[in-house]
Amino acid sequence: MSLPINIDGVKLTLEAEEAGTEIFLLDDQSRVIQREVGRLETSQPPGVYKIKLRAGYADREEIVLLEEAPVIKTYPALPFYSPIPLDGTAARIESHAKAAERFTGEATPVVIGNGSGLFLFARDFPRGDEERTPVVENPMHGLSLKNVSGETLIDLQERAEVHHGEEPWAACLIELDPGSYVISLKAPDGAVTDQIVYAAKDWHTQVFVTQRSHLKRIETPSGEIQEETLRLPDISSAGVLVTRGKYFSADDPNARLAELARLNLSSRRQVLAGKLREMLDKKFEQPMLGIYAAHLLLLEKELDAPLFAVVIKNLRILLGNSHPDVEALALVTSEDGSSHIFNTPPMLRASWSLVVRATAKRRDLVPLGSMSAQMADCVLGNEPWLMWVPPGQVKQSTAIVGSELDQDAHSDLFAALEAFAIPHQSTLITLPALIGDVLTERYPIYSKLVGSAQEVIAKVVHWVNTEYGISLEHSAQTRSSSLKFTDKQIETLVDSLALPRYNVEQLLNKSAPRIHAKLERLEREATVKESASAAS
Amino acid sequence: MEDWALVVGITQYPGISTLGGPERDARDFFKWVTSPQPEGGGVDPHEKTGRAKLIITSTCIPSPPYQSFLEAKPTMEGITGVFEKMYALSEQNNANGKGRQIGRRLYLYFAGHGLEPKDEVALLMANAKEGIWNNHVSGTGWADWLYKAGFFEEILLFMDCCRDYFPSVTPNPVFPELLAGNNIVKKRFYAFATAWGKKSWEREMEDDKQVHGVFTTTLMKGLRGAACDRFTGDITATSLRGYLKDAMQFFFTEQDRKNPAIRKDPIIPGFEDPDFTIARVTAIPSYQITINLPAEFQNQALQLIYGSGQHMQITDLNSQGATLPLTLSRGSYTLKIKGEGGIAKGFDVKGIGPEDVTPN
Repeated sequence: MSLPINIDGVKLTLEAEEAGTEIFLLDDQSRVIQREVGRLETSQPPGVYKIKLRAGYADREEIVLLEEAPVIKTYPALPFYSPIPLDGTAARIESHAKAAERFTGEATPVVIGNGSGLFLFARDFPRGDEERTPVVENPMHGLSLKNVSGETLIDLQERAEVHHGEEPWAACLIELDPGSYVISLKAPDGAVTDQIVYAAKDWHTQVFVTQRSHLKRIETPSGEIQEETLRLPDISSAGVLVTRGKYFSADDPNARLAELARLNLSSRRQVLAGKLREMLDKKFEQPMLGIYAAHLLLLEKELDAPLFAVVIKNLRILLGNSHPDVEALALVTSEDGSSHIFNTPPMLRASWSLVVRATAKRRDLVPLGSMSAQMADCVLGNEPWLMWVPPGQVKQSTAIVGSELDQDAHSDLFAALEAFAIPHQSTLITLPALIGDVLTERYPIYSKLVGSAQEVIAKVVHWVNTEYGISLEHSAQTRSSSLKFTDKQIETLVDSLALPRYNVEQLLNKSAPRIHAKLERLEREATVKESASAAS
Repeated sequence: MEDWALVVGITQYPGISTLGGPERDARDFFKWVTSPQPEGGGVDPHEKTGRAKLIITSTCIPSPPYQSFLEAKPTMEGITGVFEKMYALSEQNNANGKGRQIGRRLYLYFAGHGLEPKDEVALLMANAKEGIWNNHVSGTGWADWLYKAGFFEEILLFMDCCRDYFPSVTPNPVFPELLAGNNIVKKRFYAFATAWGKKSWEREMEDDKQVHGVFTTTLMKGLRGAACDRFTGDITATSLRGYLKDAMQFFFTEQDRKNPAIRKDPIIPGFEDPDFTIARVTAIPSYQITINLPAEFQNQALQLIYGSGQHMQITDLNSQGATLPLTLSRGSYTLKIKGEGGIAKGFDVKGIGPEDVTPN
């Protein structure tokens, strides 16, 4: 039996109490009708519909029958997963929330400076697979705090107060000078992963981590591969708050919003709308929320420049003009948007990408020899935090499963550039001319030019050889003391290699003499061959 | 114009780790795609036509076991060789004045280890190794290229692989850009097992006690009918998307389903035509459902309501006792106590088999 159709439709209003929650309206076969963030208002024909809410990876579904009367529904915040034991989150452990609150209020800090505070809280809890991987003894194991020169300031594993048991936690409260520090994780096999934390003047930075299982493959003397599960602090998913006072509060709604924004940035979900947008336009008290939100704004198809400017202005009011992440964001609208020099990198990988891009026009942003420049070659692929393996250390870290890095960029670049010196159709390829042509969008492969130096250049060589068979003369240009590139070409290399401009130029210049030597040798050989041919 | 399919399933990765499901899943997809329409994809399976290609670990030469990643197959050449043949055929067609189109529809199915170099989704080849991530084939790169080149009117891409983010890995290049086929109406449907930067999952399924990808298990159920529109029997882009997004979570283990750290629905980018018909079933699947009636619904005159607008259906029922057995197709329903202002509660039929449901 069918009912007559109500052509006017029935009004449906859905509101999430938490601003960053996505709301989907689906039909009775789960086909999306409408998606909004925070609040959804619509008018639909009578019938059966499904409502879906999502925050982080937490979701909730409900079926609703629309008859004649308008329907208004309000939904409480969803329990998304966060390493911070915030109220209403999925991994909130009562003992952890209380411990963090008590510790920040009562513990005697480790003093290594003054003007800023840092609180580190690591925890673990039963997950239902304890037979395979029991909870850790010390959730801070392997962690240390270093200065930007790499010297250990505090061995957190040793200095943290550790609470053992079924729900272990470890905490350390530190008073320190404002500035950049490194949180370093050393895995049992010695592999090290580093991550920056910035301590703003007169602010307290709070870092929370849970543990993550990693599968480690070990080769036995007989050649058999065995797998072992390790649980290590998961710094790649750390929750970070920046607070005025030293106290942690598990019921801070702004901290929840900041965490939600971090999760959305990690998964690149664009969810700035409604109340959250309004809040950014006026005032926010949790600086991390502002930083994440500014990056989320950059994910939108068209940048809301006025709102973006307001967020940057508010962040500078809160944190001053020297926070690397804020100053990186300030470079978006203009490379002159900040006078900050990035001797140390920002915390977020997305911020670092902005800095690198800006060096194409302002090479001084990342000075040669600075910590940032050194770290640039060893960046891992994680989001949202900028993480790296210390230069010269192990190539793969078990701490970051699935990550990848290009450690020896110079040798990579040289090997790749050298490939250009191979005689091609009886002549020599003119390296700068060829790269120049390719990098300046003359060829469609331009859009694919991203990756390590070796990959980029190797692909150029392969592509040019196979698709165009280009034959270029070996000109005098290749004999100059350095390889010459236009600004446009350098910008493309900066973008492609994800390296600051000074690093790129240094690589090119270091490679030049060897390439020239090879080119000259090949030319001599060609001349000898020609002479021999003429003689015969 | 005929339909084509390239189906790849790689289980043996000596340089990474062995997977359980991809080969089995690829065989299953191939079986479906080469079955006659309307129940299957209808691609001609005969080797001589070259339109249906199944590339799986066990039929590669050399076949496993491998001593090293260096000898493992399939490699990139095996996959790109298929595209090269398509290219050659397109060139031939073009030279004969027939345009560049070589087929109506292309199915691309890739299962194995995967990664996300820059913003593309790629399948790692068997000779990939931790640190040697460039041994991959970009599924999205090829699908986009073929779409733009107008070799086919319709491109369907299914990728059951992880999407670990590797910003410094370059997606392997496809052919130089070729913009053609503007005179044909082009459609595409892409579905990925997981989100950007996330893992895909495989596990032993209850049905056959074999390891399968969670995504492919859901996909195959959907293509075999569970994803069809319950009024028309059409499996459209929107109905398949709705089913995959909705049902995949139920193929995870109970423990994983409760884990808020795991993403449990696939990623399906927007598509041009929401009514793009992917397949069609003649018999709309229905499932044995036992409704556990809340106390206030017991021994009452009830109405079962589904659909909306023109398609809204209301069926009168009488409940006796605590349960109500019904045979229903997939979708959301409302059970309502008959009469004005009667209480209404909803429930879902997930389309995964017989179910006990409790309206709430």
